[in-house]
Amino acid sequence: MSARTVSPRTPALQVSRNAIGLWTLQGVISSAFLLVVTITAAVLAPAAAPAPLLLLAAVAPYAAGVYAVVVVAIRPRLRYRVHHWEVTDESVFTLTGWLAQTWTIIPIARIQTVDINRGAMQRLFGLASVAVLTASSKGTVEIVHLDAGVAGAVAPDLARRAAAVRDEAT
Amino acid sequence: MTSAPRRLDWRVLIVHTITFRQARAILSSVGPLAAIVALQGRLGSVGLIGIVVVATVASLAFAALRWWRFSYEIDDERLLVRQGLVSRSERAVPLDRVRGVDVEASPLHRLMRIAVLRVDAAAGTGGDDEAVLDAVSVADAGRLREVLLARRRVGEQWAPVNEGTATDGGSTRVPDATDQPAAAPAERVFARLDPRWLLYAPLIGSYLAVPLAIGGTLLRDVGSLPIPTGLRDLVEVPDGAGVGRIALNVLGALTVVAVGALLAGAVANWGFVLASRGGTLVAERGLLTRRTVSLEIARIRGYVLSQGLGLRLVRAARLTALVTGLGDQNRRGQLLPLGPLRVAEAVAAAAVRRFNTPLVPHPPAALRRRLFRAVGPPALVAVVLMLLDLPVAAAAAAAVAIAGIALGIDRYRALGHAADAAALAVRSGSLLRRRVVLEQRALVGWRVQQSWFQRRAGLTTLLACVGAGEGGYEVLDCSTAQGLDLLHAVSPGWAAPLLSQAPHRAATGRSG
Repeated sequence: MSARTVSPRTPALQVSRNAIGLWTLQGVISSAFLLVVTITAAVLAPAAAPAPLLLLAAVAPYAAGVYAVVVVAIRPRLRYRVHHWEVTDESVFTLTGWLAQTWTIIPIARIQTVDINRGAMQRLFGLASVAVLTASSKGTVEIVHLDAGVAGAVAPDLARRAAAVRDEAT
Repeated sequence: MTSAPRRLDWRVLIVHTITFRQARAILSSVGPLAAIVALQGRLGSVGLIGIVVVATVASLAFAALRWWRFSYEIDDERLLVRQGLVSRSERAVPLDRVRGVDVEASPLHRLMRIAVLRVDAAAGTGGDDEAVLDAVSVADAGRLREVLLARRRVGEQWAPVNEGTATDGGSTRVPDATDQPAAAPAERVFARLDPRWLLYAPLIGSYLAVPLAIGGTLLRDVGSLPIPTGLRDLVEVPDGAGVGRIALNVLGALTVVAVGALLAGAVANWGFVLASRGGTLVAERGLLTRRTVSLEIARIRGYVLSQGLGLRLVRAARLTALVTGLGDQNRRGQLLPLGPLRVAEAVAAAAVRRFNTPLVPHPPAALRRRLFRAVGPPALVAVVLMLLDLPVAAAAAAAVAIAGIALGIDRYRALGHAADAAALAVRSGSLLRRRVVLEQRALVGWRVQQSWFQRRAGLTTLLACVGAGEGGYEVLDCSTAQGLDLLHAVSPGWAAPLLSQAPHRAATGRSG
């Protein structure tokens, strides 16, 4: 353990591939909304408006178009590539983020509760998120968008192992 | 103690009647009505006296009703509090969740020799997790405190330290603060407030706020107050006053604020004593309202030494304990409200734990980052203002940027971390410098953060997550190698997966 170690290890597992579909759908919805708003503004902009406003109204739809390409075609795949998680014998850990990366690791012995969350859109894609909570409000791990089956297996397993080794030092 | 339901001390009736505690809600709606009637002149002095008498009787009646319907009881497992006039509420606090007991007596309570007892239970769901007994006799408060905290120790199989020899009240057989042998005496005093330390109070924001708030209220009403003109001129600067006059006024105001802060500090902390009693750490303080906070030593997981800029200039500090599951940590966890740095350090070492490992400084890249963040924004603002042709504002922003150099360097010099066999320490901050010492067993997780800029500079910010205090304490901008070394030193077992390059076998789950 010295200077040659460049960064913490990336957890072994990725989230469900269906997450790409979910993120894409979310991107479609938000960019469609943005496109409708900006195009409406561009069409309805009164000719008498001040020049900077007119320029803004003219440019906005293109900006919205670029945003749409990013959130529909690029971001979902990128997100899929940067979300990682893993459960080891003693801990559960995740890696999220692209430009700013965050690794979170929690010892199973300190887990207080394990939640499974299934949002309406997640159900559509057969996904579920697992939230692992500890005594600290900041020591929380959330593994988003697992296959519902995987989440259903991981969460009870974590809870059972936590109950078996829990210690009360905290 | 008792297992039968018990009532509160009857003397609380007097206190609550005088302060209109229960009747206040009703009086606030009746009061204005009475005032209107009185103003219209339909009420003679007899009527006024009548109103006062009726209000007092009503207050007494409410206080009595509440007293009558309030009971508490302690059995082997819990403290049970029942209350409510019509809709009854029952709160059970399991004794193994009791984290601290807080005994408070206002001047009125002290006159009646009773005290308010607050039982702080580990917050599982957040919110109001305490039971309040308002009020019990001073003797009962002491006994209850013993029982509530002692039962907890017995329940968790902790060997009580000389249990039974502890007494309540400020007994005079307390040994002096000089070093005691480690043979766990029944009582040991760690700190006593030296009145000279109160001179630090004007350097602490929370005490400064008191005279400022009072002053603000007074200033708002100053026009309507019958103050002689000469005195009013001191507060209101008249138009066209000379510079000397203004300076004098400012000086006067500063003096008043400083004295006010000193008084506020004195009222809050007069007679502060920190001592251990059995398995608890007891902090007592207050000039008018006397407050006794008992913390369970077995639940203390570290401490925070904090110094605002003012306190740093005079080498003073405040000391707070980190206690798992304790609410309102900043107030209840206070181990030394204010005092010289070396005293605070000595108290921390004696009452919590000794930590002697010198802190490791962070790499030069951290200095560049601190400087960039302190100087960059105001410099950018200065450039923009310059382009907008606003030279005066630009000069001001440039001055801030130059001050940022000093701030950045100071912020860098604060950074450091270290670990010994059982604890870790982190330090950061310039305007508020904090040194946190944390037991390793208190950790419930690590968060390793790296922005794009940090990654390029080889830096990492670690967050040590704990179930005490703020929930997490940062190791800001250490080198990535330092950060991983720290993880390895502090949590070699469960943090290992982050460190090893070969992936561990996943126990469960597959990717979709």
